[in-house]
Amino acid sequence: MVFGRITEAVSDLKETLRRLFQDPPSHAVQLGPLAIRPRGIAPLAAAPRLPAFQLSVNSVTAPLEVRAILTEAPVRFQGQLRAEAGWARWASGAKVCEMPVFGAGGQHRMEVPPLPRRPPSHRVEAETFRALSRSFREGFAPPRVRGGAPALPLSAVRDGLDVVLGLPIAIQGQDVQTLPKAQWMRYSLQLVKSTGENIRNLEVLGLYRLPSRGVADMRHDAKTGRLLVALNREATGVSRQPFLLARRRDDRTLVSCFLEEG
Amino acid sequence: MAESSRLAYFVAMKEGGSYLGGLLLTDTSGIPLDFRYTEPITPTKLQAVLYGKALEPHLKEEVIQKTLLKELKGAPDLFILQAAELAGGWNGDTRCPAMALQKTQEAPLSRVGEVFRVSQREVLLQVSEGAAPLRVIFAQSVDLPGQDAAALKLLEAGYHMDLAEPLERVTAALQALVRPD
Repeated sequence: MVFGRITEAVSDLKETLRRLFQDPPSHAVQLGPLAIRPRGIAPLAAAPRLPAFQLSVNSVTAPLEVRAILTEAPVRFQGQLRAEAGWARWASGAKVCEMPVFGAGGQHRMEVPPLPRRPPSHRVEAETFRALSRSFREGFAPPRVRGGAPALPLSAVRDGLDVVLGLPIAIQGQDVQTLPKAQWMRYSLQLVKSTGENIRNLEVLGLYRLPSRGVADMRHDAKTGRLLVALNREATGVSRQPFLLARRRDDRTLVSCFLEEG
Repeated sequence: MAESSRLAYFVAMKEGGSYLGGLLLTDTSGIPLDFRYTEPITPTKLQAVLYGKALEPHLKEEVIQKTLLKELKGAPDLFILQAAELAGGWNGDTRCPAMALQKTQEAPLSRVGEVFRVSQREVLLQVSEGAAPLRVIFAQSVDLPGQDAAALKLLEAGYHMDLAEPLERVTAALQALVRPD
């Protein structure tokens, strides 16, 4: 019984859910074929528009009132009698002039001088222009010629060995680490003997080859390891010997010695 | 070491309105053996105008260089010049190789003594350990065997000295002679 009700309730619920989620109803609409109907377009019409104003001409007469008035001027004539006496004087003093009659007189033949066949010509000698020339005898003086020989003279040559020797000469040192061990032992022994220092107190700076004579001054360049040497004339041509430069560890002073090769 | 090798360093320079030159002869340690210099030549205004641009090369190559070479006693093994002088021309003995030396910023070659040929007239020399190689430009007159022989001499000398440094010394000496103070 109970099971039957439950079954009904479930079926109701099922039906309810089915109705709820079923597809919405749709209806087919008969659209029919698409048709294009021509529609006439009203022709364009142009309507003249009269202006809102109209020009009109009105003649206006000026109110000029000119009136002609005829008036009579007051003219008066007065008569006077005058007599002319000249006519009478002319008639009393007039003379009659008689003209002489032409008569035959003496005739003379006149020769008409002939025209000259050649008109006389007179030659006029025109004066020619004459230019007066004056001689200018003072001519240019010949220019002085100076000797501008462009050749450059050969310059004199001087001996400047002392000048060059006075300049410091940079001598590159040799790293003692690259020496053969036996040679280094021999050199270090000579260094100890000549300086009297303990080898442990010495820091070897380099091995240089210097002239055995003529070294006037020397300075060690710690940055480059080179020895800057000033020489004098005794240094030229002499043989060079190995030169060991070292520094004491305790007081940082430099010690050195020439080494004997062989 | 070739103790007998002699290097000649030639410098011609203009100081003010004057030209002068110097020739330094050193041994393979850079120790001066001889130094000759010309008295300053001051061309006149007329000469400067007449020679124009040819004045400086003419003075350096024809006047100063030849005069110093005449005074040189004995032939050196190598003639070393500044690059500008070499470009102008070299009137020296063709049997003695002439060259210009230049310090470079190139990477060091693999080993000391190595010669790297850059061109027909130019080589790089590894003179010292770890340093930049030295550029050597040979004069036109130096043939290839002559260049090889000169490179060997340079390497031998470079073992004991800075090869390009004497050029600076000659320049300094000439300036000191012109300006004593």
